[in-house]
Order: sequence, then structure tokens, then C-alpha cells
Amino acid sequence: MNKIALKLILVSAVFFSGCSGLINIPSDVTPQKHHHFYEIAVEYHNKDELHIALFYFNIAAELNPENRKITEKIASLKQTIIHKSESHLKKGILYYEKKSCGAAQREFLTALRYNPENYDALEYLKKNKYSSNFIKYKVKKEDTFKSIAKKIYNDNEKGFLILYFNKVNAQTELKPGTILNLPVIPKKIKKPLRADEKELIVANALIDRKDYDSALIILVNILKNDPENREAAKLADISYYQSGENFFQQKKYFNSLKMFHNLNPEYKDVKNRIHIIKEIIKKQIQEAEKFSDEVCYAKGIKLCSQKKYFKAIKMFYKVNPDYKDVKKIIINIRKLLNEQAESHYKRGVKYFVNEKLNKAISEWEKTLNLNPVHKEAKKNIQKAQALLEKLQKVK
Amino acid sequence: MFQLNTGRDIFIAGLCLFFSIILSSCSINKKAQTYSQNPRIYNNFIIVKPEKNDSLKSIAKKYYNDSSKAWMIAEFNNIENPTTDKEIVIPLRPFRLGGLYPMGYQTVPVLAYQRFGVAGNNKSIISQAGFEAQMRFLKENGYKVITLDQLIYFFDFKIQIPEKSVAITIDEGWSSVIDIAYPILKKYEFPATVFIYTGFTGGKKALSWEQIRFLEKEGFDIQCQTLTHRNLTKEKKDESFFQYFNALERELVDSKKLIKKKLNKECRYIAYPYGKTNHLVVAMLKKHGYRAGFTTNRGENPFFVDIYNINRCVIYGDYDLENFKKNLYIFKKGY
Repeated sequence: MNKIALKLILVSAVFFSGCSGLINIPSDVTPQKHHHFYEIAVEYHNKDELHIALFYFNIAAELNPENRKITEKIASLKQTIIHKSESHLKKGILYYEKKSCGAAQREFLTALRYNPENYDALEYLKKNKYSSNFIKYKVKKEDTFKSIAKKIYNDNEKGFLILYFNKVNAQTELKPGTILNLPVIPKKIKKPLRADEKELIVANALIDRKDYDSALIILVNILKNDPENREAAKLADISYYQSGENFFQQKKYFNSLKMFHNLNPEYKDVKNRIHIIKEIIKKQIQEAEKFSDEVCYAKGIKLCSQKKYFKAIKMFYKVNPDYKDVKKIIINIRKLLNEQAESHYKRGVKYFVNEKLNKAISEWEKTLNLNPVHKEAKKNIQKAQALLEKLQKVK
Repeated sequence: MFQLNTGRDIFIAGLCLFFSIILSSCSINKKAQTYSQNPRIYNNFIIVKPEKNDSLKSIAKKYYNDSSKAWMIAEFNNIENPTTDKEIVIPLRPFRLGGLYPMGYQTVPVLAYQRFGVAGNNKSIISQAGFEAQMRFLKENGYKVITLDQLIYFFDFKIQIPEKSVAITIDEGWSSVIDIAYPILKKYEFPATVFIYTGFTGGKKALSWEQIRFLEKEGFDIQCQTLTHRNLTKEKKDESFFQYFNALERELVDSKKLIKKKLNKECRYIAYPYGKTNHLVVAMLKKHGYRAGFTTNRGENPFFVDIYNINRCVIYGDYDLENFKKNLYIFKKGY
């Protein structure tokens, strides 16, 4: 009984564990198994679509990773793909070098069809088919922009094209061996440059050299003759702006303002720049005025102490009336001067009464010097002068 | 051989049996789970068992987050519609870059329209009925209209596009785009690119900036066709090289800047006025950040086309459907 029981237990254990390998899936699901995709892969392989075949073999391998047949197939197919692709690339390059464009294209396309990651084939394919828009020029010793333009375009004025299409400026020293991209120019366009165009090129070069003042001389001249010259106007704007900026950095605010005033206020931040500079200048004037008030006030006081009131009042008139007690001082000096004027006036009257007409005139003139609006002094001078004339006639 | 002499021996044997059953059932569960999972997700693909109401669009929406990529599932599995009795594979990477086949390669027609309205003596005007018929033909015959971005990525050998891909472009920016073309394109859910020349925009019969912004909001791609629509390859009478060069720069740069200012978008493509270009124009386009240029030369556009000389088929007002069909070159036999 015990033996039978043991056998039963062992057989059951083997049965259950063994069955686990056979049992697959619930009956309502019909999953695609690896061999389904393997078959598709083989179909593509037979049609010479190796890259897509590889995709399907990879699906089969993912579904059954332990199937060595599939993994070996994938490894060998990968090698075949690389080999075939490279072999077509090599053939393509040979055709390319022989300038057999059609045959080269066929080979490069086949290389890519086998292996889309064959980037050399892709590059050659495009290079083979289309001519470049640029000529690659290797700079030689003693080359200049003009000499290169002369060589390539038979027109040394086209040197500006090198500046335009390469990261160089007019000051850049061309190092031998540097590769420059020179655009291919359609043959039809070969008219020589006009004088103003040549000047524009020079102005452009001066701007590159940051010599804005010299550039402006040329540009202003071009614009004088041709106010509609848009290119000159554009370059002039650049020059005025940069020049204004330079003066600003040098704290030459009046010059800077002058440059910015030449520009359209809508150009870049010109409006704002002008406002800032005006504010700075206003502050500077205020500072200067403050300094002037101080000096004139001190001089006025000194003149007062020397009893030179007439000069002192002139000095105080230069000072801002709101500065310190200037108003009060002026009133006091004015009063003092009026008193002095009155004293001279009275002295003049005395001389007049005593028929000393010349002395009377001299006193009243002193009166007028001290008080220019003294009406009586003015009148009396006229009277005295009239009398003097009559007396001379009588004599 | 073995003897179960005691109750202890029987207990141990029973324990063995119990564990063997547990282990075997675990193994059953593991396999059953693998195969019954829906979807089964792997590195480069997903296997899905379609459900009753699934369509290729709904599956593409679910797994690519883009229903317009249904074609990728259709082409990979060589099916038109999913069925619940057959699993399908959703590829997660391109499987046919460049549209290369052993017998030839894919080409993409780019259609060029200009004006829409009452077709009369002006060949460039397409009637509403004519345009509707052409779009309906594309839809009913399985053509997929792609954007210019997709087209350029295809030319760059970066993405795969549907086998029957077509691109639609409209030149100049006439107001009839919004009156006639827009409702039809919207009806068929076709993307299109409008190349505007900014000197014309806002004119009497031209699209206004407000209308252009509306079109952009509605999914239209707005690109550039220069400032004044001058022939970029011809210098004017009495125009020197320098003047021509400066004029070229204005045509290409000022229009691009204006579109950037008005729409806050960077133009990457240009339609050459009169379809004409030359090396100097292309050199300047490259310098100023244009990625591609469209001519009006009829011809095929394989992935290795020169992207600054992309061919377009101008569709004229006097074309019937047969003439229209002749422009839909989607495959070139032989290498």
C-alpha cells in the first residue's frame, strides 16, 4: 500500500510538472507565433528585400528568444546586408569617379536599399546627382579678397561675395589653406560695377574696419547725388548709429547726440538713446550752472567788499536769482547805487545853477551810469548841452 | 526501493506532490500571461489583437498617439482594415526609408495651385467644382496628403511616408484660397501650404494678414514667395550685379522678416516666383536659413531630389480629371 501510494505521488508530480510545458494559452486567443513572422521574413528574403526580412526575423526572435535557428539567421543576414551594401557603395564610388552618374546612382540606391544606415551611400547619392551652389576655394599665399574674386569671377570687385558668404571680414588676414565658399554666379550676370557701387564697396569695407567717419564721408556724398540709394542709406544708418555709440562711450554727448539726430527716430533704439543723452546733457548743464553761480556769487561779494558796487551788481546778475541771497544783495546794491546816483544828480544841479555846465553834465552822466533809467538826469544833460551850444554860438 | 514506513514519510511525499503542483501551475500561468497579453509590446514593434470596434485609425491613435499614421500599420501588415481574428504588428520604426523597392523607388507629387474661382481665359484659375473633384479623387483613391515638413524629412531620409503621398501647395496668396480652397481642403482633412508674397498681402484681391492668421490657426502652413514676386534669376534692365544682388537679398530676407513679425513663425520654404532659381539664389537661401525651395518644373520627387529644386506640377484651370491624374507620379520603375 505504501509503495503504491509513493508511486502514485511521484507519477502525479511528474505528470503535473510535465504538463506545464505543453499547456499554452486560453483557447479564445489566436496569437501570431514566431514561425508566422519567420515565414514572412523568408518571403521578403526571397524577394531580395533583406532589410525588411531582417525586421520580420527580429519579430520572430523576440517572440521566441531561445530559438537558435532564428538568432543565427539574423546574425548571418546582418553580415550579408552589410557586405552587399558596402559592395554596391564601392561600385558606386568607382562609377562616380568615372562620372557615370546614372550607374553610380543605381549602385548607391541599391546600397541604401540593403542598408538604410549606409550614410556614405546617402552622401554620395546626393553629391553625385547635384552640382554644388558653391565653389570651394583653398586660400593661397598672398591671396586677397580682390585677387580671389579676379581669379574666380574675372572681376575683382566681386570680393564682397567672399565676405558675404564666409565668416570673415575685410580686416581678416586670409590664412593659406583656409577653405572659402564662393557662390556660383550665373554667367549672364556680368555687368561691370558703376562708380557709386564701387564707393559702396569701399564704404562697406570701412564699416568693417569700424572707420565710420570715413565711411560717412563717402555715403553722405552718394546720398547727396542719389537720395533714393537704399543701400547707401542703410550703410549710413549703421555708421551714424555706431559713431553715435562710440561718442557716447567716450562721453562726448553732444557729438553723440548729433550722430543720433541724423537717424530716423524709429531706427533701432534711437529714440531712447536721444532721450538718455538729452537727460545726461541737461544734468551736465545744471551742474555747470551750479558751478557758475558759486563763482559769480563769490566774485560779487569780493567786489562789494572793494566797494565796486557797479561791477558787483553786474556779477550778481549772472547768478541764478534763486541762488542763496542774491536777490536781496541785488536790491541792497541797487538801493546803494540809487543813493550814489542821487548824490551825483544833486551835485550836477549845483554845478548847473552855478553855470558850470560841463561839470554838471559829467555829474549827471555818472548818475546815469549808476541808474540808467534816471529821467531827470537824461533831460538835464540835454538841456545843459543845448545851452553850451548856444553859448558857443554867441561867443 | 523506497519504503514509506512512517506517517512522517507519507507527509514528506505529500509535501513534494503539493510543491510540484504549485510549481507547474506557476509555469502554466507565466506562459499563458505572455501569449494572452494584449498588446504585446517589444522594442521595435507592438503586437495587437484588434477588438470589435477597432479601426486602423483608432489603433494608430492609441499606439502612435496619431490617427493619421494608420497607413503605417496598413502598409506593414498589408491590410486595409483590421479583423478581430488576426493579430497585427505595429512597427515602431521606419521599415522602408526612402520608399526603396527592388523594382524602383517612391516619388512624391507636389501639386501647385494659384487661384480659385470662375475658370475663364485665365488658366491659373481653378473652378470650385474642379478643385472639389480633384480632392475627392485623391481621397477616394487612397492618396495621403502630407505636409511640407513631412516631405522634407522624407527627402532628408529621416522618416517614412505613405506609399501614395501627395503634397498640396498654393502660390501667391489670393483671397480665393479662403473662399474656395479652404472649405474643400477642410472637408477632406487635407493639409496645404500657402506661399505668400508679402508685397501682395493685404491687397484688394489678396489674403489679409488676419485671414492668413486664421488659415494658420486652421492648420495651413504659411511659407514665403518673396517680397515682390520678381523673377529671381533675371537682372532688370540697367540693373548692375550689385543692385541685383541687393534686390535678391531684399526679396528673400525682408519677406521672411515680415512673416516672422506678423505670424511669429520662421519661414523655411520658398516657392520661387515663376518657378525659377539659380545657384546664387540657392546660396543666399542657405545663408538665410531656408531649408527648401520649390520650382514649377514638372517631374518626380524621389527622396534624393535636390531640396532647393523640388519639382511641382502646376494644376491649370483647363485640366480635366484625366489630366490631373497624369501628374500623380508616385513610383519610378528601375534605378
